[in-house]
Amino acid sequence: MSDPFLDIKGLCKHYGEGEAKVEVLRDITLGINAGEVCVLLGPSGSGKSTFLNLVGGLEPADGGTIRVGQTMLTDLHDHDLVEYRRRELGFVFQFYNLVPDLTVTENIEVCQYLSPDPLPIDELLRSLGLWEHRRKFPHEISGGQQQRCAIGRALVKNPNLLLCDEPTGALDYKTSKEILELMEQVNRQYGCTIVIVTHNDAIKHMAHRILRLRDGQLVGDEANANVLPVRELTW
Amino acid sequence: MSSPLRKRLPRELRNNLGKYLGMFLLLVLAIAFTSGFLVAASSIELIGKNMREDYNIEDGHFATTFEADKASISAVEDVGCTVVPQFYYDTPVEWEGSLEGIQARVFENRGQYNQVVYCQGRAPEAVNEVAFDRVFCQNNDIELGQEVMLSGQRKTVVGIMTLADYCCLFQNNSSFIFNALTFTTAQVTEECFKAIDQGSLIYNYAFYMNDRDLPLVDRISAENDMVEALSDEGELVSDFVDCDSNQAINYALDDAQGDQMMWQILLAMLIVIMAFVFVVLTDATIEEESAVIGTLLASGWRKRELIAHYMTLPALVGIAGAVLGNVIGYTVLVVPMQNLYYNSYSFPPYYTTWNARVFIMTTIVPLVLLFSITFVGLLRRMRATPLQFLRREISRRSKRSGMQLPERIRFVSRFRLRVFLRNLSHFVTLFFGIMFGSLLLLFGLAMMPLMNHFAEESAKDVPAQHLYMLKAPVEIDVSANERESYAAAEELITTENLADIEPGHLISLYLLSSNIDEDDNVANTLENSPEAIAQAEKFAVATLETPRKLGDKNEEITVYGIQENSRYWNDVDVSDGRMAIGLGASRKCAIGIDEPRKFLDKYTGDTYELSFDSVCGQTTTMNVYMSLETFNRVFDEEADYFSGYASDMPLELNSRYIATEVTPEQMLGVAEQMQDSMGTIAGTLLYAVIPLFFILIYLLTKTVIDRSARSISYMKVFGYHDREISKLYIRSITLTVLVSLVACLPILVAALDGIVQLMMSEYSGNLEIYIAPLTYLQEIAMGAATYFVVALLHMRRIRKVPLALAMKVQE
Repeated sequence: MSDPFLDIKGLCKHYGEGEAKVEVLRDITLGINAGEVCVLLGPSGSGKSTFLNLVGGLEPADGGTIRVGQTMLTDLHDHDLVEYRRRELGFVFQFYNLVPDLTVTENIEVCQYLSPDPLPIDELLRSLGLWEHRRKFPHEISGGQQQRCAIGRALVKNPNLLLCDEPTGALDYKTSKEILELMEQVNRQYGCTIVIVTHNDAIKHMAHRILRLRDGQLVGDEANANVLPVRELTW
Repeated sequence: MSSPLRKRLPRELRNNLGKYLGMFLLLVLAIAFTSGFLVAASSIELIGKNMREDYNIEDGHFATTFEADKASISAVEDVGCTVVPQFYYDTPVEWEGSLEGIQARVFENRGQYNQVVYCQGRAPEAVNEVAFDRVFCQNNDIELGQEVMLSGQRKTVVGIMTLADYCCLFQNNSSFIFNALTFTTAQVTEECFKAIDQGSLIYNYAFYMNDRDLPLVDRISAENDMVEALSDEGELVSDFVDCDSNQAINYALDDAQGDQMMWQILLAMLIVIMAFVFVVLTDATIEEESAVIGTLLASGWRKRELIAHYMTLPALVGIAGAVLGNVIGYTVLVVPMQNLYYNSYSFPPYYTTWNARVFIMTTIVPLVLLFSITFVGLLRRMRATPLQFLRREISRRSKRSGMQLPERIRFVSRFRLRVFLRNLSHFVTLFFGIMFGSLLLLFGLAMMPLMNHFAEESAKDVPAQHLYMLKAPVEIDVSANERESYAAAEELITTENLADIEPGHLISLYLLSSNIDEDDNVANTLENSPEAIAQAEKFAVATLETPRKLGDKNEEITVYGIQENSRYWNDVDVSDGRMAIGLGASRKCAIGIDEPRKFLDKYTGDTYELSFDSVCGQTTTMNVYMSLETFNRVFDEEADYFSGYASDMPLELNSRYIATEVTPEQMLGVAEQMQDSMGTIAGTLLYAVIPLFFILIYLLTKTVIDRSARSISYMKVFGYHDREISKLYIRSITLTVLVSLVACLPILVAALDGIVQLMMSEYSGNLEIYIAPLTYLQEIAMGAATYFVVALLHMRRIRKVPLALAMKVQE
């Protein structure tokens, strides 16, 4: 069996010191294969966002290792971490985090600019259903469209790993399904590995891997043999 | 129970230290410098105004060619005044290593009139003792106990003093600039005064009106009566100066008043800029705190409670800044500010006077402005609903930032353009901030070259190597016999007791002097070469007054009667009765060609209506030119009247008849003097301006970075390097700063021109703004260098924007 694309061993993270010390992640070990969609479930405060920050190279780990592809993240300095994010990663946030005074196209261009081999923007806009809205500003489009734009921005670099932090958390049912369908399509079309952090238990059915965190510990890691298409999900 | 929000205040202060520190320093600097200066200047103004009473300063003085007899003095006193003789002579002073050509105006120890104030030492008591002016001593490093040669006699300096009627060392009231470097007043004992050669003794008389509160018009009228009384008694009046026109008394005071106007203008501009900064900072705070405000409002907090909360910190910072600014102004800066004047002028000992007007202007106004702008800004923003705050919908998106940009523009350029458009209002404020800072920078930098330029231009106004101003027409082209006859007459006049002359010699003197034709002009008793005589040119001079364009004061205009086709004034056309006016006079008094203008002779009260056919000379030329023939006709003089010689070769003239000699070098020397006195102001201004400029740019550009903190954080998460982010954000700011530095130059030049004109409305002469190309470059370079430091701070700030900011929930 080949090595997992995302390989995490003994990952630890805490905040504060002494009596105020809080163990946010404790000895997490897991592996995610290339091209998998992985859903990370857990209640608030379970360490989901911290996990994502660590994998995204936004925060240093206190212990353990993270390897993404051939890159050992925990060995990298700040400058190399930037290169790693630039080369490997796409981020999708719950509240889209679009630059408010850039148009839809320009927001996507922000990340296109970083890649030596970006995806063609026009094609991406069409596949995201944003072609009609490409000249609009974030405040002129709906939440779903903003999230599509954010996904487009993450994808345009053609990343190997897409990290999504509650991507449907701010959306209604219908729009959430549209976004998840889009992710499903992206995974199929571009073959990137996707990690989705969510509260929503129903989303797990679209994933190849389902991880569960509680109080900083990995309490569940199961392969989903019966992956459902998003259109069949309900909640 | 006190508001729990108070606990936020120290944290808010800590988190926004740059912003509040900048605001605090801006207030401290502005208040410290303006209050320090205005307090010093207003205190000096008060000292100056009280001097008339405190030191019994004259109402005016006059000088006669020869000593006035008792009848003449009585005739003058009958007009309604007391006359006090205060004779003096100007005599050379030198010591080892002294400058060349130093002259002392020597008086006898004075009593109750035009009193003396001793700053160090005491009044001379022995024949070999002398006291000199304080500023002169300071400029020449003269100390008590030093030995000097006064009129060739060795004297010891025993006193360093200030003469109340020579606060400013003008050797001649008609001089444009004072001279505390090679001219001084001096006091000696009566015995010493008599012992020194009195060849050039000036019979000067101070007068005090019986009614010292006489209105100026009445005093001038009385003074005209005095001149008439003296003439009736056969006295030749060589000088007559009303105290209001006496530059030695008033110049320093006018300077202190005029400078106050300049500082008030600067303060007003500073207040406007501070207002801009406060608006920007308040808006930025509300925008930043939008979600918090929304949450608090949604939780039941009242708007006024929140307004009070958000006003607390700016108010505390403002009050602290005002207190510290005043403390620094009154204790530290008042001394250098006072020295700006005391290094140039011989004022009596300084004391600080509390001035409510200054306090209101420098402290209350900026504070009220800070409070009201913050309050109005908060009130305006608080009109939004809690939901609008929660949704961050309080900042109206400007049409500009939402406009479409052509896609053919490179992404990076488009991004920078977006940054620019999004922060347009901040950049507009930045432009004004830069303009204000640059104005002060340029003013400070331009001052020295301006003085140089002024001196060079003024030197061109002296068309010959020597301009001899005479007390009476003295002919140089005379025969040896004529010279002999006048020499004999002079000996007779200047001998107090004719019995002292040997009888034979006396007879020959009478015989020789009997040859003089009284209808002719006086003949020079000294011989000049035929070449010198051939190139010398006669001219006549009179001084008239006409109103200035700005202000309510009159400008003194020198009227020259010159030769038609003069070899010296060769660019002035005075043929066929034509008249020309100097460019400076024309501009300062708004006199155009063919526009008749009334001129006043303040001594006689006569008015003259003159009309000009051309404008000539430089911006410094404050003269009117006409032919000598026209001059004598206009001023009702004899056809052969004249009162000076223009000559490129030095002339031998009887010193008795020389009023003054003007050379181009003297005008260049003036530049040195002006630079000496202005250099400190220019330096002080630069010291004040550079930190001010820095803070302004820092505060105004910081808001741009702060507003973009979240976007910067996104960029970092996406994989942008710090230097790439800096390029995107900092370059927009850099470009704006550089463009502003250059674009505001035409406005600055116009503004400086206005300021200089406004300042000069208090002074005589015409000084117009002149900025050397190098000065522009210096100003831009200094502005850019200051910004460079700010940019480094911003780059550091960008590096410090946390990655986690992007991950934080925004709504």
